[in-house]
Amino acid sequence: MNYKIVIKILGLLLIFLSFTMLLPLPFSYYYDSKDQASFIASFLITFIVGFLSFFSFKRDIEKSQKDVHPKEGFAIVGFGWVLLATFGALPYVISGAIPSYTDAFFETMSGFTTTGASILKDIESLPKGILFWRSFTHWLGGMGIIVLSIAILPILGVAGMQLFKAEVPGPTADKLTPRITETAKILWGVYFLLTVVETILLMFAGMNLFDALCHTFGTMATGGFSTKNASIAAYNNPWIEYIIIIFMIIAGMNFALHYRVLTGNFRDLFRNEEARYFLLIISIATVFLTFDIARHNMADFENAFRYGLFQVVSIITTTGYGTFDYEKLSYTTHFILLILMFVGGCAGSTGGGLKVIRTIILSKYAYSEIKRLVHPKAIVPVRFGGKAVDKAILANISGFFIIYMFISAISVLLITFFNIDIVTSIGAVAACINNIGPGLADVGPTDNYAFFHPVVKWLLSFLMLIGRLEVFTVLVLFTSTFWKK
Amino acid sequence: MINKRIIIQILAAIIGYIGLSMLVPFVIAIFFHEKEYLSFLYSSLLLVIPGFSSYFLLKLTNKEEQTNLNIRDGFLIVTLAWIVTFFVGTLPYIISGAIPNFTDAFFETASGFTTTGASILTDIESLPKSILFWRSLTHWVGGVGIVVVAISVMPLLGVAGMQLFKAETPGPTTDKLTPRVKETARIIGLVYVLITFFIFLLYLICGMSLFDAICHAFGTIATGGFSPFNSSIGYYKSSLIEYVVIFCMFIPAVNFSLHYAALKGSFRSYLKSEELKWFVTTILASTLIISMFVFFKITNHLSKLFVQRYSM
Repeated sequence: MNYKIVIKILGLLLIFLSFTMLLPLPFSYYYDSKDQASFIASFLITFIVGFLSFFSFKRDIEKSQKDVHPKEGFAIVGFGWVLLATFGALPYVISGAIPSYTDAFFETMSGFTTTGASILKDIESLPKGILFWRSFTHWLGGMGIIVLSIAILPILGVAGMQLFKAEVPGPTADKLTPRITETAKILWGVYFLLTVVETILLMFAGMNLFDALCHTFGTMATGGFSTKNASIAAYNNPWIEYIIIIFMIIAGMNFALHYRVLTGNFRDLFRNEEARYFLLIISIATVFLTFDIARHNMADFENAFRYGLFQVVSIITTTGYGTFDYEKLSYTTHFILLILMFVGGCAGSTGGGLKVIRTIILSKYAYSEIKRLVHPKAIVPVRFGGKAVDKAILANISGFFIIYMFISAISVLLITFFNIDIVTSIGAVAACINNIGPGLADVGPTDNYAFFHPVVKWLLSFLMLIGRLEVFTVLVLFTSTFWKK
Repeated sequence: MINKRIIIQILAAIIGYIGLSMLVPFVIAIFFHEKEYLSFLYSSLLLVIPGFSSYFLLKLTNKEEQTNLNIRDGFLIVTLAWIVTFFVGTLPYIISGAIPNFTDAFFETASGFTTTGASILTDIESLPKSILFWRSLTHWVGGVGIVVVAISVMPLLGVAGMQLFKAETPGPTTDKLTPRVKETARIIGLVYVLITFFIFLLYLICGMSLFDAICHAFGTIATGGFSPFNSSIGYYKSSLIEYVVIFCMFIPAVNFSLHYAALKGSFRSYLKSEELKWFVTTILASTLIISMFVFFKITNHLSKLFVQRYSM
């Protein structure tokens, strides 16, 4: 392990983060929200720490690029994300918006990992600058802050590939161009473009610039932080709801696919098997929820459809915005949503969860095993997107699934130690590891995470990170083989 | 092609045997002077006569010398055998009126044969002894069925993870379900009966009545859970019985091929089994955690420090 280069790049990341802390300032001044000092102080602290670790080693970063192997890549991304949340929590603590550091760390991790779980009871009472920072952490974390730094910091160069692989979700890295810097630029370009479009549309639908930006950050990153206590329901505006539904779906799909569509390959959209399954699952679940809402006489048909579609899309894309309290619906609906939480978005999207591609391949794999029992000598390939899936990828996906479920189960066990009922525990774990936000029972869409014991909050923060970096990047840091020479 | 004829033949034989097994509670009913002896007699005749007669009819008219079963037939027989058993096993409950509702009777029977132990009964102790005995007997029959199928049939069907017994009786070279299954099944059946008798003796020694010891032995060896008492083993309020039951529950949860090896004299195979090691570790770890919580709940001092829900 090359510690020097790891510390150097981590320093660079912190310097980068420190500058993003200045972005809430315009809004802070405009709304006169008295939190300017906290952002400037956080900027200085983060900048100095970053500066010191960047310049404490003499080695030139460009020369030592070739020292960045997969190991260093995992270490930089794993520790990088922990550092981001550690320093990103500073504005909350310094401004006094969230006085407890545990709570502030939870909120920041929830922001960067695009979870959207909150410990805040009254969001609207916070200063505007802090609210902007809260939503902005979503946006930075959504496409990946490390991917962003690869895109705009050319000095990372070759090292970028290792970092990219460790941060971008999905079983296979979808390289759009041979040069990783180019790929990172394209992904962030598409992300930025869609962000601009949604912001403008939301402003047309009636939001002011501040709300439109914050909600766009929450949508495009599939985060879920809102500036209102009642989330999207506060606006009671069908246009806003439909716009957000569409952009949540977009954010839950592969961004490489969006790039191809934007460059003219519309056919790819319909040929993509993962996208088709994604839309199919959304349709089926929406039909069920619509009827469930209508059956309880809670809304007329159009409203029921819109509420149903919104909750389904919000959960499966792992966003977590709400327009309707699904806790009021049947237990079957609760469970359907719990399954959707684990299915998650598509690979290469900003969504979390197991990912549609893994869920479908696992199901096909299970079915191929049944076929193999009847015809023991037959070779039954698992096909996805018209191609046979490689045996190594099948093993990887199975392993991923087992570890994911194992971590979830152990976490539920640990939370029940604190005398919390099983449904709440499962809801909280599912909502955090899949980066959603609202869970079930006591952590449902109208509740928050404030009441948990600090130990549980740290555990849930860790789960968010595991979920965002797709387990292996984080877990590999806890193995003895990783630290051996 | 699916071999319909041989499948029906085997299912008919199974129905006949289930009918025969109902003669045991018939004897129990007579012994306890219960009027249910008639229900068992009727149920038994209803199954034995058509079951065995169609079996022999099919067997006599079968011109093929060998009964060739392929893997598909294997899957079909195993699944159908269980479902048919659930249906015919409801007869005593329904005829005697102990469980008049068919759905409930089917649930109770399926729960019995699959050794689940889930019950729809609200007052177990009010039932006649012979019905209680039948209830526990379904566990015992189902238990041996599960072990035999798991160890001698599943490996032949290629169901993964069940090939462990092959070490003792080398696996088949063809994909036909032929004589070796019979041999394997006989050995497992013998081990099963021996252990049942051993558990029954232990229960008798530590103070259960003859009837209760048999019922509980059936429930234990099959990892079932039906008891003739509403409060299950808690009825005895005896730590000796609890420890003995704990020990005996542990036995059937261990791979039967290990027991077979032990009966042949090689006790070392217990120590060599990695699965057993993990099984014991899991039990010990869970026991530790749960005991801790039971202890804290009872003493209620530390629980306030540690287990309380945090709220500000």
